[in-house]
Amino acid sequence: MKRLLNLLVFLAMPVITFASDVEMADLLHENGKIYVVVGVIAIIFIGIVVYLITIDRRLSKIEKEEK
Amino acid sequence: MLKIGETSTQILGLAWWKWIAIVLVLFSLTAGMLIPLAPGILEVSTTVLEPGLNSNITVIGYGAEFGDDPKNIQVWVVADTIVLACAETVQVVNKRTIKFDLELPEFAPTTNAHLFVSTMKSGVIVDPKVFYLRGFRAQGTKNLCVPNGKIVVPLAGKHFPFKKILYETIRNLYYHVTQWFGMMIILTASLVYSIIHLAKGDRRSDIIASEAVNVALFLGVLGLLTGMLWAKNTWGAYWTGDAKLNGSAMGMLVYLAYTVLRGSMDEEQKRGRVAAVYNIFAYVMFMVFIMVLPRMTDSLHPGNGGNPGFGGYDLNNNMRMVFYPAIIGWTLLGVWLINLRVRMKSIEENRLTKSHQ
Repeated sequence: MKRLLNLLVFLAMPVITFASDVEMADLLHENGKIYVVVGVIAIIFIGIVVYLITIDRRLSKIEKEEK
Repeated sequence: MLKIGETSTQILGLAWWKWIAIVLVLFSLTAGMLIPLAPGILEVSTTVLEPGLNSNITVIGYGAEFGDDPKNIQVWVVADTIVLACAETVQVVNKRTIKFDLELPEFAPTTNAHLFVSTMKSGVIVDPKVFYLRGFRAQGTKNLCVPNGKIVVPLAGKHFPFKKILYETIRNLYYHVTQWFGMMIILTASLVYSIIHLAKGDRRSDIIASEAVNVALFLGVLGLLTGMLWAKNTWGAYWTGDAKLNGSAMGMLVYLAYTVLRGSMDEEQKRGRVAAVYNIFAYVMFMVFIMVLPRMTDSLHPGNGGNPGFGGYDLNNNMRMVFYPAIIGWTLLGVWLINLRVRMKSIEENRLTKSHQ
């Protein structure tokens, strides 16, 4: 579980730096705000990956108990 | 009907509808990202026009090609339906920027005016009500000049609408909005399975209903997070007091309570029945929170309060062409997740029953 949490923090690093760094926040407004769309797709992708990881872990547990 | 947890017709070892999910999600990602925005006007240096000469007005375009012959670029100002002024000469500063002077009359029918820029490659670009007209007499019935019709070329190719503030983020319709649509469709399916469970009392529909709520909550979290990022960059804050935002948060809590309630009971028959009854209640509450209440007050969301829906004038046919398949694709991806969880849960439950015997 701790490893999963570490992974989450690592994945969230770009988002955290976006929030603290003003120049980076400006980047989101450039080029017609296309980076907002990229961010939205990234959130969905990360979300699906995290969800898959939890399913995978539960499946591993079942497999282990089966043996 | 999609057979969840059972084998339906398979293609290359995968149920057919899962391939449809893959194709439609890929379509929403490629078409949604690759179709360009229609050319638009990003910035106009002067937004107040006065009678007489207004010189050195600079216009910065977005996705507009001003690079061609300046003689082919036309600029005119329209108040109501009357053409008030046409620029005599247009100077191309660079590919994105043009500069021109406008000679305006003493009178105008309205206090605001639209800017029209016509180019060979980018068609006619309109910035509606960009000018405030100050110091004009309120009259005017006929066009004062005529833009040259010969070089007004329609825009070719597929485009998404250019909207100020939104700009490229209009594409989030296919990624943020579809998560909520998928969530609502899946919650409806969950409700149906809860009712089936109440009628038949079988284990399978209870598992499907509860796993559907689980995946719907996951889609709701994605919807909230993506919505917050979008809101920050268009409305200016991650969270506003908007009725739709608070309503969706409360709706999520109602369903969170469902999972807590169901998880707190051990006896299978009782758990199934109580969860199913609560699910019916939760569904009604959820729909009231996110569909009914936001429409009764003001909301920043299109389609709520005084705001017209995307469906009104914002959603052009190219957007519909991507949006509807995107809804189906993302929803099917959610159904796929349910499918995996139901199969896993069924194994867990069956083994639990066997160990009890």
